[in-house]
Amino acid sequence: MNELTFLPDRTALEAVGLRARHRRREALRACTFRVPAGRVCALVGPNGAGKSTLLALAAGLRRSSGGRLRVLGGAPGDPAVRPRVAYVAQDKPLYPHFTIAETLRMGAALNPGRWDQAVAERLVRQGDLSPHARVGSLSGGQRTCVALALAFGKRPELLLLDEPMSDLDPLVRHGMMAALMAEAAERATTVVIASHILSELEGVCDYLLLIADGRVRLAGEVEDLISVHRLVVGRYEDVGTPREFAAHTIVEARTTGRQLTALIRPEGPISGTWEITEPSLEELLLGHLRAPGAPALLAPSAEPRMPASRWAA
Amino acid sequence: MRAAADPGASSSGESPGASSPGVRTGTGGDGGSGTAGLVWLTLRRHRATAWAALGVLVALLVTLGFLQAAITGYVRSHSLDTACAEESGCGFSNDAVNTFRADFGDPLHYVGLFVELLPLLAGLFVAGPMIGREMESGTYRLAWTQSVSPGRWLAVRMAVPAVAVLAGLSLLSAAYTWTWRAVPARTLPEEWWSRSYDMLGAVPVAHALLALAVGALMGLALKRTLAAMGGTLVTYLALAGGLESLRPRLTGPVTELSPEMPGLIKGDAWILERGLIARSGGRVPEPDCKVGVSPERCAEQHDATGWYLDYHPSSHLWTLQWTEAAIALALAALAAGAAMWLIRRTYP
Repeated sequence: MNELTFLPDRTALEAVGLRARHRRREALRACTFRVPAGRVCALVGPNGAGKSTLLALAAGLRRSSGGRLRVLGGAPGDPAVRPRVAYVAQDKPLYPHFTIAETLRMGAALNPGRWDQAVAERLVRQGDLSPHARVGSLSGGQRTCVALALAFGKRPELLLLDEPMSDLDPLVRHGMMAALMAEAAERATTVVIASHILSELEGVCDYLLLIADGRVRLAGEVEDLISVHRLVVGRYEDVGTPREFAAHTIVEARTTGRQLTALIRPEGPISGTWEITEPSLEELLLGHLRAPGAPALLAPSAEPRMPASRWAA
Repeated sequence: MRAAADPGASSSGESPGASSPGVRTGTGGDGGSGTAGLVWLTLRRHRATAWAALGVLVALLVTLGFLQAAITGYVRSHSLDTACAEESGCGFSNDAVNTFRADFGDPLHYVGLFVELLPLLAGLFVAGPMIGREMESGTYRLAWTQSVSPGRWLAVRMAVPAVAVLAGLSLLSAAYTWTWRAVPARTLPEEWWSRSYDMLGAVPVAHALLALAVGALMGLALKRTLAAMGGTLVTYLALAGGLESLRPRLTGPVTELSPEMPGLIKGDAWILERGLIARSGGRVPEPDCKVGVSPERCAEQHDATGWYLDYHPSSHLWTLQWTEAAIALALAALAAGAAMWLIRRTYP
């Protein structure tokens, strides 16, 4: 039903040199990346890295202070783009005096011609909620459920979720994530989930955007990013990093006792007697989060494809 | 003020279980922009206030209706209109006049005071609950991340109360003016046109639209409920004060020249200034003569040829009213434009 997402070359989100200020602090500095359409993308980074800022920019809730950002091929907040993007903020703003039914009615009223009442009601039912319950009387998890129903009801092509599961208990979180992914898969919706619960992302996300200190550190398909990294473990008693690693890019190296653990991007065969494995997504993320100075890596699919003439802006 | 009729939700059913996929709302020729939906949302969100405002409006209209009938009846049965038309006016010794003052003075005064206050209340409501609170609690993001642009959101947030004010306050001010006209001017000096000015005709409506636009601007700029209401209070009172100080100059007053010192009561005219005309032709407003100096001596001291008196006769009421209303509306348009500019500049 949504032609855009079935074309692998289409772009959901694209930024070149994107900057944003948040209370006089640079929240984003020169962010450059691309998220292809149809992906479920994890947006990861430490607190204050600029994840929320990036999502708010894409949702058309604030202005950037420089660079370019394109959402579904248009400017964020453009009248042609706004109806196709859904956003669930971290604090899940909802009107507390409205009942759930009224909240969904608001969704229908504000999305003329787009709203899918059945999808929204299905999500509400999955959360085991009465439509006549007041939003103000709901628990954190139930509010999340209503916020997600509101987001899905507008049948978005791009769904932006800011820490959607942070206030849910593990059981509810698991069920909600499954429901979310089922809905997204059915419509091939592009999803960007900001989170720092690394475990909830594994097995769900196939794309990764790692931001630290307002810059993109890693961007690309999860599989590709994992496959170009190696976790190297071995006995090592000298100071500094082993000479054998000099040919490779070392993301992070730690020594505990006599054991060295290093996350590297090999440029060829790794010499020496090391135990070499592919890192898990969590290991990959932790390694990069611990080493903010490691060089950034953008997979080819994560390189922006905006027309060159527009890069200057 | 917000005398909007049915806020929608009550009539259109609350049966989500029964509704079919793809509820059609807001398709009434708004080109899919969600304007109709926003209007519904605004009314639903402030449903209680809308009903309360409607109730107050109806109560006031009924009160004014009764008051008008009672006043008309009393004036006719006691021939106050003829008795007071004489130059001597209605004396305090007249029992009928005293009873009239006692019975109708206060109700008219308090209803009028309320009409005079309504513009400020409307402005405070838009500044705080309608816009400031949305910005403070972050619920503005709800509408903006559905399919509504910030500019349209603000436009509807201003337009809905504006329409309600225009309809409700126009009706109320017309009813008040109608009741006020039934009072023979000389019976209630407290309610002379220059003193009831803020409650009559177009001025309260224009003031309300000004307060409303100022409220929207403050809510948007200060983003906090209380700060926005405080900012609106101060700004609106300053603007209203400015308009009031401008009022005597909105149209040229009538000047009366006389060799004798004129009195400061002249029917129900609004006396602006009395003074001496110097031999050079210049004016000496409110000449400072010592206590106990006769007017003639005073004129001599200032080497004056006579006295002048500036005043607005009651026939100036509507010229003054419409001029002030036009200025207030221009200021309101300016504030509303500033609010639109601010939201378009701040948000995409």
